[in-house]
Amino acid sequence: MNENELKFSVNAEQLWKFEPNSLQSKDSENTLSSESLTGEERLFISLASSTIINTTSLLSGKKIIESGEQFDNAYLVLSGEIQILQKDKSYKLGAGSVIGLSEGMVGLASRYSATTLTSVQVKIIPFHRVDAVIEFLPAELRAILVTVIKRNLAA
Amino acid sequence: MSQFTVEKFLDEEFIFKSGDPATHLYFLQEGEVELLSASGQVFGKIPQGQSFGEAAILNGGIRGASIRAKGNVVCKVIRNDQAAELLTSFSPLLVVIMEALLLQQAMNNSIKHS
Repeated sequence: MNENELKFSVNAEQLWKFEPNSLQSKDSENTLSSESLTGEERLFISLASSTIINTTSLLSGKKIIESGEQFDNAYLVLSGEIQILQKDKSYKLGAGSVIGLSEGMVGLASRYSATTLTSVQVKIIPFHRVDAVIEFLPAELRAILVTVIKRNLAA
Repeated sequence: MSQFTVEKFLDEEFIFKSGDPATHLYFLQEGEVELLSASGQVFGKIPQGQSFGEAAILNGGIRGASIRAKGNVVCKVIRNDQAAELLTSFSPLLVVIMEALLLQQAMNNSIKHS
């Protein structure tokens, strides 16, 4: 695998014109439901505009997770690039990538190392907050989450 | 959980087709369903107890695959706006979690197919 290959990224440059504040406007609501955006782009805009999860910046070269470590947080990449090392595979992830969410929700250790290649802006989802929410979920909602988690872990 | 209704499908009945607007989420209570590509090729199965059609959580989403009953099927079904309300009523963070899980799924699919 080409280690310089960018495996996943939404077109954040284009999407960043929908700043969080502007996403509250009528125009941006129309954009969110527009079929001109892909599912990934709609998800990215919605998550990037969320005010209930914090945004932070990480310097280039920052180790996010080591292989074998438990996740304390999941990360949504808003901008910048992250290098993933998994056994003999190495690749890059860009804006829109989600690191560690499915793994952390079931308490699995990371199967890869993740390091910032550039300065990176991320949204952080702390698992202590996730655990407090999912503890009391009804069976159907829990089953929907579990289904998506299983698909992610099987990938 | 009154927002969920029960729908029954007969063997080989399409529950939705590729290209349809994604308007509902399904929880597979009894039976099994097949996933079909836009060209009609079966490429997967979903067993009892799992959900499908989660993309409906996104307003304006379009089905990427078709779903067909394999044998008789019973589903619990919820409209996308009701599902979003239900998630939000438990916690706004639950919406974030669901959206982020779906984005992680899109990322994993992209990595897998690249």
